[in-house]
Amino acid sequence: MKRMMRWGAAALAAMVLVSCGNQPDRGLAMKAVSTNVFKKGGQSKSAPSQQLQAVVAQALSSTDLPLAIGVVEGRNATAILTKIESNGAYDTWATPDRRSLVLKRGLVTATRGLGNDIMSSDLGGVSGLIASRKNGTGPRVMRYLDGENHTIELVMQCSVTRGGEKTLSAGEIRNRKVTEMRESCTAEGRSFTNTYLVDRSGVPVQSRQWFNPKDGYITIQMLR
Amino acid sequence: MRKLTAASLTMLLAFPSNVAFGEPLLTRSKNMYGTPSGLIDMPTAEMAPDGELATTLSYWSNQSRTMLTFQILPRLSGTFRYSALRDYRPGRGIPGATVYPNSSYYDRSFDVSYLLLKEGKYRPAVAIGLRDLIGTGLYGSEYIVATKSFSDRLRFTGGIGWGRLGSYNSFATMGTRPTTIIGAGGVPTYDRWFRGPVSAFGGVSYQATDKLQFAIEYSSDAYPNETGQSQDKGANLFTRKSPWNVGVDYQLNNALRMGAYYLYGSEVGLNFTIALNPKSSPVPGGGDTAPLPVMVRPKFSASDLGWTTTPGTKAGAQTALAAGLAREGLVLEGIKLDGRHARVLVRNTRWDIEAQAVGRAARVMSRNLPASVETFEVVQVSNGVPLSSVSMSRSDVERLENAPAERMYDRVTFGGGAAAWNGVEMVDGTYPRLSWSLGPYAKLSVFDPDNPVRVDVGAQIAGDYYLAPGWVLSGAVTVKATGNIGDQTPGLNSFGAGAGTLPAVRSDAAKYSRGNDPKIDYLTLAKYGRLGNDIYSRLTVGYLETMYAGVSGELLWKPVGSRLALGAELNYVAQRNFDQLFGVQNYNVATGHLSAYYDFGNDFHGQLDVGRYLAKDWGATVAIDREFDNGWSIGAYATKTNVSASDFGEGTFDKGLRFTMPLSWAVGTATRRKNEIVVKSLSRNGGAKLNVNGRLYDTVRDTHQPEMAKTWGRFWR
Repeated sequence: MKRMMRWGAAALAAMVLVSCGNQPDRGLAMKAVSTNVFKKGGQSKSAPSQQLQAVVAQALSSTDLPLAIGVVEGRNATAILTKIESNGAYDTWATPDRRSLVLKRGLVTATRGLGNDIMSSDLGGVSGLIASRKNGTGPRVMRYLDGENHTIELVMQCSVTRGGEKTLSAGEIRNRKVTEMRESCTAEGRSFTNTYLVDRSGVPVQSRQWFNPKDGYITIQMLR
Repeated sequence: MRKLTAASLTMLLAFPSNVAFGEPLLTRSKNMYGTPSGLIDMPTAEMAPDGELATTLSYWSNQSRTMLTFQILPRLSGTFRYSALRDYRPGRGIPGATVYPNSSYYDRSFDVSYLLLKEGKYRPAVAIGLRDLIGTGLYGSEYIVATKSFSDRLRFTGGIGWGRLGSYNSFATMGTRPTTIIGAGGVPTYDRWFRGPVSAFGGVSYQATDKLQFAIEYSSDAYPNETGQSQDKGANLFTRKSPWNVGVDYQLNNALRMGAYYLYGSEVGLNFTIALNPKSSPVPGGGDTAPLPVMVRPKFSASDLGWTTTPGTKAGAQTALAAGLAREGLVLEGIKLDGRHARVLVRNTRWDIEAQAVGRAARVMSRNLPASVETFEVVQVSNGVPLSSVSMSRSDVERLENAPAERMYDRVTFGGGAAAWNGVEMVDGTYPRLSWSLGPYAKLSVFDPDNPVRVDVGAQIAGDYYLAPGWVLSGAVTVKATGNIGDQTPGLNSFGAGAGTLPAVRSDAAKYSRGNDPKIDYLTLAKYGRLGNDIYSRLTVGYLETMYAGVSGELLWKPVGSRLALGAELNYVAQRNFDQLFGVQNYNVATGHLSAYYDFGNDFHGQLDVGRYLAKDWGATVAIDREFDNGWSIGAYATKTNVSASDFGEGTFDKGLRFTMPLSWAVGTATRRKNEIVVKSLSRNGGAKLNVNGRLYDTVRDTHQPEMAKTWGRFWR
């Protein structure tokens, strides 16, 4: 009496590790069990920022493109962002290891390669309020993919409030006069507050923006 | 698109602890039978979260049970169980009976439970369940059970049971419960359901903290089999001193749960559950690196056709395009480029979600093709044969990059792409080419009555030589290093209805496994093609699989927008020698099927095959799968052919469960590799099919509109 269950030749995932061949996805698959997004290290809150300053200086000297630093709080990870493309009002900023952010007038509308990415956003009037440094309210829609690749929408109501004035320096930016703008968004069961330091031309020179439930906020500091 | 609040977004990441009325009462706890239940040995009206797939191991007093439980629908749960009972030998102490020959008794069983009524403010949730409803009925029982929650923490359960659940302290009797087995086993024991003595059971569970749960219950199971009162008069697996069980459950993390119990006044039981939910990916949307974004053409550049007459421009664009596609795991096999249109034929080596492959291709095209090219046509090819095409306007690609993906979906056109090679320049180096691999393999055989798990391990070298579009020469050779599948002795230990009388078309697996000499798994020449916009074809000749050689032909009708497909397959094969070299035995058969495939559109997919099987038996196979839109699929199939139960042997007809897990789900980045597992109840000779490689349906379907629409959100990922 035979009672058979056959597993496919590649049933054991461990087998993939030691296989070889010229097929593109053979042997590679187990490499990235947990995605290493924004290489860890570089800057941590307690560590001296000398190393980071060296990285920034090197980046500034190696390109004339717009540059920024991005810090993902949930991972305590830092990366240099370069503006590589524009499509209308949307600018794509990318890291050397192929992660990217899409900013519309400095506000994050999409991410790629960060895990649980924002696929697209509708910022409505919020983005104009922040650029013009005015108080007001407006809706914000952020779209994600769920585990089955279905698009899900996070619909929030946001209120924008103007705060105090400051002077800010970073990278090639020297003594820029900025206004602190706060955007508080709520929906059932969730709330976050984004902050933007907006200069006279309406550009957020520095910002801290919520982008997904897992990693929370990303801080973006423009460097030129 | 579903609208979700922030709260429900959080639910994607964390299990909801309390659920509103109108939803099934949920639990992550499994009882000793592996079914969703906050109690210990008794069922409740609770359900697991929809889609959850859990493996439970439970052990107590000479009995171990391994269970696989799937929440098929929000209200329907199914459990497959493999049990081992030490020193349980049916027939012992019964005059004239055949005594089970082995020291441990292995039994497979299957349960379902259905939530009849959801919980209301005053009304409890009510479920009906059938335990061990197919086969020998070792655990055969039926129940109707009610569970009511009070606050988030306390749940009271009460129910009535038949069969084993009516075996202790019964209060009524409903007719007589038969004990004979229908057919040769393996068919639903419907003649027993809800018959015989009826008993009451119940219990209370208390969720002390988010992770810790206590339970107490009153069991109506007298355990007659295990205590020598039924098929084995000598059985003494434990002493049942009390109907009361108490225990504690602890949720270690999102996947793991442990339970420890004091059972029947005499024994300690342990329970360990690993659960996953195919619906919730570890990395929603995947962790793949970012694409290069769309490059928008400068204003007014689109009318400039000057490049078409400039020498070298076209070749340069083609080279840059191929390099850009290669970065995205897409191989450019052919291109047709003129002033306004570009058609690319690409082979996808990376993306398991085809919408993502097409989206990446569109962006690469926007960056590398001359500005006057306004129409993009992406044709996905497999084995050099076009599977489908997606056409779009470049202006839409530029305009909708930052819009919701369904805006783009509304603008694209799907086509069959049958004539996609017409007028196309084949990219140098695409054909011929060789793809090969060398690695270890493992074959598992479980449910052997002597040995629950058998395994062969060794090395396999495999290769595909693509001669020209559509033509593939394939081969694989394995060398077994060690293993014990060949040690099986078919028929020797048969207990029950035996091995049947059909030709040994599948039951000689052990003979094929013996020895350590190299064996040819397959060696074939295949021709794939198109016989029209909706028709796909395959012809394969050679050593088709480990046990059969011959010729296999297949036609598939599948319009690009259709959820229905029809197929026909005809094979003429001879059984191969046991050494798996070049010889064949004296058994030839013409076998083949007409198939219908239908995507019901509600996560369920059905397949019906009607035809002639390897043992020259005629019949049909029905398969139903629940498909998740990330590549997971969990389903069941059954085959009934025109052979009697005694000719078929134990099991009466062929049936099994099948699972597909995309590796991308586990690793978080795109890969086309997937694990497919078929769990057969018993591998017999009736209803057996040929295992030829390269069957058309799955490959074709994945690139067609209904499949791509489900995951279109990945287009811009």
